[in-house]
Amino acid sequence: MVTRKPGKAAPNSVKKENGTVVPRYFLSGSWRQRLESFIAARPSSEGRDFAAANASRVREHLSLDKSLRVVFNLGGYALLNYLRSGDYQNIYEQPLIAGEQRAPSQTRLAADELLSLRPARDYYFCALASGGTGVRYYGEYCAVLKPGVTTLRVDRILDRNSYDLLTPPLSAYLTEMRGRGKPAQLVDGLMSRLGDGTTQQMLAAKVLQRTPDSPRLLTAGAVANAILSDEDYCEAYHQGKITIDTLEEIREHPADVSREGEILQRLEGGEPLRCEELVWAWRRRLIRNKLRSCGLPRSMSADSGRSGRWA
Amino acid sequence: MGMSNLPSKSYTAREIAPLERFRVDAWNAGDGALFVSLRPPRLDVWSEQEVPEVKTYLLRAPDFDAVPVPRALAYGAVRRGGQEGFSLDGVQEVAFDSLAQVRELARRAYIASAIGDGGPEGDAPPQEGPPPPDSGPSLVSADKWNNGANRWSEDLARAVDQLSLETSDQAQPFDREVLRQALNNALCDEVLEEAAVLLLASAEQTLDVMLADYASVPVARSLIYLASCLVGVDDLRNTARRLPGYQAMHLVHMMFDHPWAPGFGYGGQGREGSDAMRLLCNGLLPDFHTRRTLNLPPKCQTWLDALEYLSADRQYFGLGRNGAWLPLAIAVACISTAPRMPVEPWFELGRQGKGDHRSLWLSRIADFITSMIPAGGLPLDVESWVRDRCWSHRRGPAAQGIR
Repeated sequence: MVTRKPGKAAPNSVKKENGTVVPRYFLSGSWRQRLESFIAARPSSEGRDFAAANASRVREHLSLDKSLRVVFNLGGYALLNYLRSGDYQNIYEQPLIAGEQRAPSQTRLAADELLSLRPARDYYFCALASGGTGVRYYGEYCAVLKPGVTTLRVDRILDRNSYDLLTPPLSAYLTEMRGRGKPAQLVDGLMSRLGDGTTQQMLAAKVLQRTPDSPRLLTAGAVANAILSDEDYCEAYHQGKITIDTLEEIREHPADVSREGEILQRLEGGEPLRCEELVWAWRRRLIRNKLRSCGLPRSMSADSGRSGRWA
Repeated sequence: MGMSNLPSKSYTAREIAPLERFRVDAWNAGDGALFVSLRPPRLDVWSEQEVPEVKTYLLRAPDFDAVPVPRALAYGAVRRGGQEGFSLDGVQEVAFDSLAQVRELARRAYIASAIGDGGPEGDAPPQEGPPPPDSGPSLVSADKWNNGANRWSEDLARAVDQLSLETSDQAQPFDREVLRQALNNALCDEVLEEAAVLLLASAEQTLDVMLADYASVPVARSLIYLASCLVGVDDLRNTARRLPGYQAMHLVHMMFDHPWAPGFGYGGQGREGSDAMRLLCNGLLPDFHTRRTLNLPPKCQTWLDALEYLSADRQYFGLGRNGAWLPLAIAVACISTAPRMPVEPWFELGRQGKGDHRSLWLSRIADFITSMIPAGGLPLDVESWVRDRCWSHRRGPAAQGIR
């Protein structure tokens, strides 16, 4: 990303006595302002034009009545239990560690407090996505919430994984803001609200930061990849239990479907398999059956989710 | 949080030096997803975030390869149904010397979590109620298999003894090649007949319990077919006479009367999955009392459960003086490795046909059993924890792994 030399009249950060610098980006409370500043800061006129056009495109494309969805990922075991019991639990509900009752760690409690999740046990962490299969590191199945439910139960969105608040440089910024008695200002500034259009501003800023000076219009696939890529995603907080009837569909990645087919093919040929491969493949079959009996659609989606369905 | 915040409980030398060892950050055992970092012990898993060079890895089913990932993912995983850290006493984190150890733990806990999961076609957990009373008839007597490993083969007994070798704090890895050779020598007719009895009893149990289910008939037929591959067609009737029931015997007669009828053999068609998968998951283990003689956890219902148990609990083999494990392992391997084949080799594989087909297949069974037995290398207390997990009656609504 091209950065401009800061002007004398408008410093882009505030330096404190202890040497910590809080960039102005994190002090701004409005995503609209951030987006406009970002576009205005493009060094060329075509850069500004394309940035504005792309921001408009992102805002238009990423709405709940189009492709934007709130999703959460689960592994096969968790999904199967969820489908059987209808009860998806978080760490606050089942803090049992190897049979020992144990409360969530102090760091986690403090981080959830920073996010203003009160009470934290009522919140379930999700992510924003446009197509694709969510954050697959958290599980190979991607559960997609119905848009109507989303607007009722998901209010606040953080523009990143909240873990970033615990690590430098954000942890240092937070320390400084605590010194100023305004720790919430920084976190609140990184939040958006799903219903009032600020989330679209936030997503537009996030997408443009990835391709700041490209003289091209962004495609829907590129936008999808920009808002959720690898472990970089926007965190969405679902208040209250996520019931099965609020799910729109379950997405699977083609790589997992292909892996399952390969396992079954080897088994059929009499090739010795490892037990964990059998368990994994068998669970996938159970899940298919259960999804069918629940009437929950499943779909296959690659990384950007670009197919006829998502076009 | 610094080291001064460590619990006052004194650490042993092995746990302190070096401080940086592999410790679990987040884990969902049932999903087979484990995040582990190379770091010092902490009371709070997420403290000391200012140390940026912590190496974190994700190990995930079905391969459990260690993939480097940012630690942020481990933190997020806990909020999504995983557990924070791994401790046996609720205070002190368990430390591992290598990623291979972590992999073994994640793999076996994953397998153990699946025991009893699903039952036939897997929708509902079978037989959730209290277990049957302790007394009752069993297809096989405990006496018959006591000291069985000795009886089957001296070499095998020695190889199995090797499995229970333990140092002061760690289960020792064993020599797989020695065990494989011993197994090859131990697969005599007598042992194979015991395995065939289990398969026939399984066919009977499958027909008994699932009588109303049309799918049970091809499953039972395939199990009987595999039994015939072990003992030979000529001896199948004699073997079947050991069964107290009549259903499997009836099917054996049907096979002799109509050996070429559709549905016999291993090649029954399923809409999903391969035949071996259907057999493993739909074939029921013999009755409760036989399972008890076999030292299986009560929640083991299907052949897949048995395979999972044998693959997760190393101490089962350490109890190897009970020779029951060998016929059980042969039957599991038999189902898992038999290829889909045309009907013709059916007659060649039996005891009378000592041709290449049979010897190759038996060799493959020995290989399968050898690879199935869990490697050692875990700390003994963790080894015991995995065993407890195999036997525990876990079943809950949570989406979490370990409870």
